[in-house]
Amino acid sequence: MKAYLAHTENALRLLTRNKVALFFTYLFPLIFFFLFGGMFGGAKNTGAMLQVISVVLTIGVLGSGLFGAGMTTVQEREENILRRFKVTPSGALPILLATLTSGLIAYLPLIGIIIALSRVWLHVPLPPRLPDLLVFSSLGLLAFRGIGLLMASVVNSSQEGQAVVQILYLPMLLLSGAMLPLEMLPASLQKLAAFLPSAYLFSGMQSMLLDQQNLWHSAWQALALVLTAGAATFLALKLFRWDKDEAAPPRAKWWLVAGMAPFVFLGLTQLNSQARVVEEKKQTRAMHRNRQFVVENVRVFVGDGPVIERGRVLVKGGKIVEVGEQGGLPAPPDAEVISGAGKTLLPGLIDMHVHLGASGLPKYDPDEKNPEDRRLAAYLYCGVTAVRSVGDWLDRSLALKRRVESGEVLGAELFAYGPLFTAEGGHGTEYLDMMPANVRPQARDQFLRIPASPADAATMVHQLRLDGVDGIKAILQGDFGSIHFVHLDPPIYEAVARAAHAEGLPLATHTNTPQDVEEAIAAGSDSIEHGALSDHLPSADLEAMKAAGLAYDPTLSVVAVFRDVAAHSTAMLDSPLVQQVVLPAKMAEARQAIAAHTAGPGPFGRHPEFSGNVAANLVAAWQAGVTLIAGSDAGNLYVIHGPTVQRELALWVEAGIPAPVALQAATSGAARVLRAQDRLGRIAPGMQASFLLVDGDPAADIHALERISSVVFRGEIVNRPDLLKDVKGERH
Amino acid sequence: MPNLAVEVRGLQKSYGENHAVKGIDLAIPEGEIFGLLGPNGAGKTTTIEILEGIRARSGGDALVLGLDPTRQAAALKDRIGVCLQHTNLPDRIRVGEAMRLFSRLYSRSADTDQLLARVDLAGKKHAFYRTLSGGQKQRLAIALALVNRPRLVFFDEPTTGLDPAVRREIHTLIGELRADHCTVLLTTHYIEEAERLCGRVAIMTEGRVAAEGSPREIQEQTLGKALVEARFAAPVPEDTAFPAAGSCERADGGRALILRTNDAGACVSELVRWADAHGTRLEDVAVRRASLEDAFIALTGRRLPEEG
Ligand SMILES: Nc1ncnc2c1ncn2[C@@H]1O[C@H](COP(=O)(O)OP(=O)(O)OP(=O)(O)O)[C@@H](O)[C@H]1O
Ligand SMILES: [Mg+2]
Repeated sequence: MKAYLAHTENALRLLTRNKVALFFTYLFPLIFFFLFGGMFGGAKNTGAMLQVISVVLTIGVLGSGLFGAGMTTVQEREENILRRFKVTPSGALPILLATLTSGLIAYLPLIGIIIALSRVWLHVPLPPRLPDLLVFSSLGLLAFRGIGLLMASVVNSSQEGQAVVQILYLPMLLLSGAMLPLEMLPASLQKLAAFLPSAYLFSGMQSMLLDQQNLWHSAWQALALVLTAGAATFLALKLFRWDKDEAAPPRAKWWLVAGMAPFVFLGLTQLNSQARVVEEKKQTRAMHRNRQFVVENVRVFVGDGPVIERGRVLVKGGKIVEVGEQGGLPAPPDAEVISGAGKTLLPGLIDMHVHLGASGLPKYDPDEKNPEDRRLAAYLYCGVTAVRSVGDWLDRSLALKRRVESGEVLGAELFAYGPLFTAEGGHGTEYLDMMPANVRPQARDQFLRIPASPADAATMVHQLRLDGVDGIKAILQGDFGSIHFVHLDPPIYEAVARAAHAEGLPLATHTNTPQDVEEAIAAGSDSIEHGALSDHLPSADLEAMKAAGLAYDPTLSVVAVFRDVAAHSTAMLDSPLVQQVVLPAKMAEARQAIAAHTAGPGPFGRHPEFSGNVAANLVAAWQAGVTLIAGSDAGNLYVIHGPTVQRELALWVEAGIPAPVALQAATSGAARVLRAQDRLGRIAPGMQASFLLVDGDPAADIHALERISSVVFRGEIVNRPDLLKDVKGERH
Repeated sequence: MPNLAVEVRGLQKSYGENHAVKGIDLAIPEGEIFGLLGPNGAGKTTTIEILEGIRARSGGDALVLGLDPTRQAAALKDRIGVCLQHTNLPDRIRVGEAMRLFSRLYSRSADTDQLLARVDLAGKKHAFYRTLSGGQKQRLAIALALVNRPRLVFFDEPTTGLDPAVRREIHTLIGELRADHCTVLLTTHYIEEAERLCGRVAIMTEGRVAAEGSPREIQEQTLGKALVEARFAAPVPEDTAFPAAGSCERADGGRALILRTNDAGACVSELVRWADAHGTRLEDVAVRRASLEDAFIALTGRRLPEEG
């Protein structure tokens, strides 16, 4: 212990006098810091600055480990300094430990300096996970100093040492993710990176800085760092040589691999997993979401009524922090400025009725990978920042929801209701008949809930709540024209509704007739989907809906398709946005299918009158003061995931709904039904920064919604063309 | 018989095929200054470093201060002082810092300031190591070797490469250790150094001890008491015998002879008689005491670098 302290003190003292070591410990990382810090615009982009911090700390760790600990030891051996200690009683261990910890003591101030400089110079807020970051980067430092010591123990000269350090340092730095994103690397290099401690070090620091994850999130990486520090130091001790004359055989260099064995192991487990690329995507997301910018001189459609004609909206850390009149508040000095002149800023649009499992196009493409990801991306591209899935495979929806939440998938927020509650032989079950027999059992399990009794219904709802759904979808539907559907038993439906309330889940009910609607009102459904297709909704029903605070979702888009297809009209495909999110070839197929359409057994092309009827119901509901929400029923034929809210609201306005009313329904109205009104649906301080900027004023001309200038999602100014690059299934 | 500080029997060391030390015996009583004298590659460093506990021996027994240098290396290192043949300190360590650092590595330590004064470096306490002259570095090395108040100090070629004045300073410092009743084992190339400092000397060559004893004993053992150098006008045939001489070396085609003898007078008269008998002239004759150097050359077949 005494010897260890003496060596540590000595090592620190010598470090302060060693220009080369000081350069690599402090100056080199700081040069990078100033270089990148200046380059990435500092405070305007907190996310980028946090990334710079991880880059700089990684460079510091690599330099300290390989040059600081490794080369210094090699040189001390070469200059016959080490051998003097050989005749002292304490042996090599205190020297190795002192080298490890003196480096750590020297490194900690670097973290402090970098964080303080970012704070003072670039106004980057203090990272909330600072203690985790300190611990994690310290472990990284110890691991790399261990590797440095091991390197010193297996090379025979400074020249050899330099060569080995270069072989280690460059790939470790270049493939760590610090210099360029892993995603951009060829697959072979990505695989190689899976074995590099530096890559784990960097991504761990990123997750703490950008993603605000704790140490626990990077527990495996931390463990691997600890084991590497231990293994490398142990091997360095075993292979330690005091004298330059005692040559190590060339094969001793393989011990370096042994020292990094924990990462070899970690790499093998990661080799075929996308986990690291996914992790990096999340961090990239987090970085982009951490920007600070202000939209100026913009018309603000707040979402629940008010409009600020010339306003300013400040966004920071993924949230709206200030909303006011232009000139009302001093402009924050370091925010990036986006001009909103001639534009309207409105809350992200919300489609309250989608089925992500189907494309809306006539041909099913079985080879398409993760089509749901791309559909959510198409929504976001069009400024639809949240969608409610009411009838999709449970597991897929929940997984997708998680992947969107984590930032792995960039796309509209997903509110997942999961499967449909229906009767045996009821609406919903017909889809099973279209599937190959071997997938039917699974589809039934994932896509449908067919309770045998009220008690069964309650159990199913309870289980869904445990699974993590955002709400419950039930079907009240009898025969539809010539198609026979079994209607859900009223006691079972009521049990579903009761259970949903008991579990705290909103209930969305598909209805087809005024009787269905009345049943839904009586059971306390939270929203009515479709309403009545062939009947007028009686005013008593509308009054009851208003009284119950129940929301009406007319899904005019899907009903209009019945009419349009009958007229061989491709109006629903004509929007430029639809053409942007669908590949031309698929577009052509759709047009041909519509042109060639003959009324089949389904509703398509058979009920042109429904559309006028539902439009009338919508207007009546509005006049009666019923809460309105806008859903498209996308996924049904020719209701294409993407600009669905634009289409739906255009149909509303055509039907006679004032555009501001329609816009409120698709923003604040929807957010309330989603029970997310505290973060979505309005442009107000504290709200999530998910909004769109459109050219013109959609409150005056609803088609302005199609002229999207930018989309902001959770603080990230979305790179829309990039989004479509990912929409391969529907774009290629 | 006094206690032995170092006791070695049949010590061997091989580096692969190279048998650097081929079975040597040493017994160094406490308080003695003992010299290992030998040419380059004789195995001096190998031997001394085995005794310091920093090299493993291949065979034989060794006890140093009663400890086995391999198995009890740490305990041994704590008690001995060592001045290694090739060693350095970091450029930017200060003299005082080095003293303090090393003093903290041992279980007991001397007063470092006093030690620095003793090696005449008190004024250099705050100087960086790299600013020291060669002599100052070596004096610091000696101070560092003494930092744990050792009972036994090893010096491996303590003056090689130093100029004569510095060498004398070092000799004085080593000599002073005798007054402290310290045992010293030193290796050297320099006969004069061995003669001046060492009570006893072992001459090592090719991994063996060729002779051991006080410098005087060695030369007598190996060469007899005197050397007679004679020069004749005509060559002396090779088979000529001079019974009083122990051995006879011929040079200059047999005209010059060097004879070793324990009876110089008898030897000279045999030479004179031979000259008379063969009608030639004894041009020159000289008698001198054999030196340790002569003994060394005789034993090792090598000449040593000149001192000074
Ligand atoms: N570490 C080693 N590995 C292999 N051979 C060695 C090693 N150290 C010494 N030798 C060899 O052992 C023999 C004895 O060397 P040693 O250094 O003990 O001699 P020395 O008497 O100290 O010589 P010098 O006067 O040059 O210091 C030499 O042949 C040398 O080459
Ligand atoms: Mg030697």
